[in-house]
Amino acid sequence: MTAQADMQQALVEKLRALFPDLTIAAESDGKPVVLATRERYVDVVKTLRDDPALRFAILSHLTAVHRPQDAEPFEVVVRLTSLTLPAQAAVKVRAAGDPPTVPSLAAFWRAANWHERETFDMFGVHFAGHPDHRRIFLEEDADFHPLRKEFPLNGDEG
Amino acid sequence: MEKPRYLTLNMGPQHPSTHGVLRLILELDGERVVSVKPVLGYLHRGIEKLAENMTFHQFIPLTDRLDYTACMSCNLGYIWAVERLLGIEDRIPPRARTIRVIMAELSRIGAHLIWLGSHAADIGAVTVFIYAFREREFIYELFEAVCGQRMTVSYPRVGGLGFDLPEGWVEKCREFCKIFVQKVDEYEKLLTKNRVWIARTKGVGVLTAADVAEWGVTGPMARGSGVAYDVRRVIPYGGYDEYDFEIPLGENGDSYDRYLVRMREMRQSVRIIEQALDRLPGGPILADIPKITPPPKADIGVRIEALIHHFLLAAEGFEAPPAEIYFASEAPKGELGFHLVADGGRKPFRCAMRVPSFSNLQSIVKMAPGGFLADMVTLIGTIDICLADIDK
Repeated sequence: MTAQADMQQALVEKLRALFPDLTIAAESDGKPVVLATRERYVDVVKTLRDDPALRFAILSHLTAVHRPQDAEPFEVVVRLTSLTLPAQAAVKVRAAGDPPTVPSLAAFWRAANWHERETFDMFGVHFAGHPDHRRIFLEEDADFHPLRKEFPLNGDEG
Repeated sequence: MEKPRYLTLNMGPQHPSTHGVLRLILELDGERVVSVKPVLGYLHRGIEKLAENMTFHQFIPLTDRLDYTACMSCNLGYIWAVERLLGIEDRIPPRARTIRVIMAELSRIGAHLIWLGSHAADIGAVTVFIYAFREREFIYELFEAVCGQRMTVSYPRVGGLGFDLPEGWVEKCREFCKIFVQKVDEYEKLLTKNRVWIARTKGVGVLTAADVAEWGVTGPMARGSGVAYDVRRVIPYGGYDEYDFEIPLGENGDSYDRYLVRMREMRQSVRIIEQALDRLPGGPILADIPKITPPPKADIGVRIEALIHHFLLAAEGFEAPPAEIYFASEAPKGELGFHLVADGGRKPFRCAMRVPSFSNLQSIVKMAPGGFLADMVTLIGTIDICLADIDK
C-alpha cells in the first residue's frame, strides 16, 4: 500500500508541474484529481491521454455530481486509467449556463460517447460538440432528468 | 452517382441471441453490415437514484441486479468501495479477506461459464452449453451452501461477510477445483480446434490495441487484444497482490483470441482459489468496528452498548464521513468501478457505477461494419454483455 501511496504522491507532484495554472487535489485514497476550468478541460484530458510518461489511455468513466447548493451545481467527473503507471486519475469540471454545458470529449474520443449521453440523460448536462447528442436510456420525449437532486424518488412529491 | 440502397433491419430487443433486451438497428448491403446503432434502456431501473435513497447496507441486494451472471463480483466491488470510502480496509479480518477472494474467483468462473455456454450455443455448438452449465451448477451449490442463495447472493457485508463457511465447504471447494481443471480441457477439446468454431470466430470482430483505448474497452476484451490491463494486477485491492497468477493475453484481438483468454482465465482463477484455500486463516469473519459493523449476537442480550449499536445500525445505518472515492475492481466482464460521494449522512450522496459491459458494448459500432449479418451473433457473444449491467 505504501508503494502505491508514494507513486500517487509523485503523480500529484508531476501533475502540479504539468498544469501550474490548475488546482491538483487528492482524494481520500490518494488518487490525483485535476480541477480543470472549462477552457482548459479538453486540453487537460488530451494531455493526460497523450503524454508518453502518463498515457491515461483508458477512459474508465464519465459522470456528473449534482450539488444544488453550489453556484455552478453540476460537476462533471472523468475517470482515467493509465496503461504505463499503475494509477487512475480524475478530471473535474463545472458545467455553466442554461442549460449547463461543458465541452464534449466524445468529439475526439469515442470512449466518452455513451458516458456523455448517459450524463445528459440523467442530469441534463449538455456536451458542446458531441456528435450524437441524444438520451441513451430514457425515451426521447422525456422532459425530466432523474438524477437531479430535486427529482423525487416516488411520483410527484411536490 | 446514385446513393446506395441499404436494407434497415431491426434486431432485438427480443432476439434470443441478444441476451436480454438489446436492440440493434442494422444497415445491410446484402448480407454485409454497413453500420449498427445500438438502442439501450429497456431494462433501466434507475439503480443510481435508488442508491441515494438507501443506507449503504440496504443497497447491497441491488448490486446483485447489476451483472446478474456474477452477483458476487458486483457485491464485492461495492463493498470494497464502501470500505475504501470509510477508510476501514486495513481492519477487515484476514479470514474474510481470503474468503472474498475465493468468492470473487468462483464468481468469475461462473460468469465465464455462462458466457461460454451461451456464446457457443448461439453460434451452433449447443453441446458446450450443457457441459458448461453442469459445472456452473456446482458453483451455485457452493454459493447456496454458504449463504442460502444461488444467484442473488448478497453475501458480503461492510466490514466482513454475512456468514462463515459451513462445515465441509472447503473440501467441496477443493473437489470443485480438482474436477474443474479437467472440465476446461473437455470444453477445449470440443472447441479449440473445431473447424466450425474457428470459422465462426477467427478474424471476426477484430479490435486492435489502439481500438481498445479509443473505445474504453476493458476486461477479457482488452486482454484479447494484447492490452495487459487487469485491475487485480495493476491496482491491487482486497489482497490480490499476495496471490500468484498470470494475466492471459491474446494477439489478434479477434473473437477466437478472446475465447482463449477467457478459457485461460478460468484456469488462473482455479489457481487463485487453491492458493486461498491453502492459506485460509481462522478467526472472525466480521471486523469489530462498533459504529459500522453489527455487534455479535451473544452481546446484544447482555451489553447495553451492543444493544444500542445493534438498534441504530438496523434502524438507521452508519454515518459515512464526507469523502469522494472511485474504486475499481476486476469483474468477470472488465473494470467495475464505484464512484461514491458521501456528505456525512447515512446514505450515499451519489453512487455512480462504471459497469464493464457498457463501454465494451460500445465497441460493437467499430467491430460490426464489413462483417456478415450472422457475425452479429458472434459479436454479441464475444463482448459478453449483460443488459442489466448496461442499463442500470
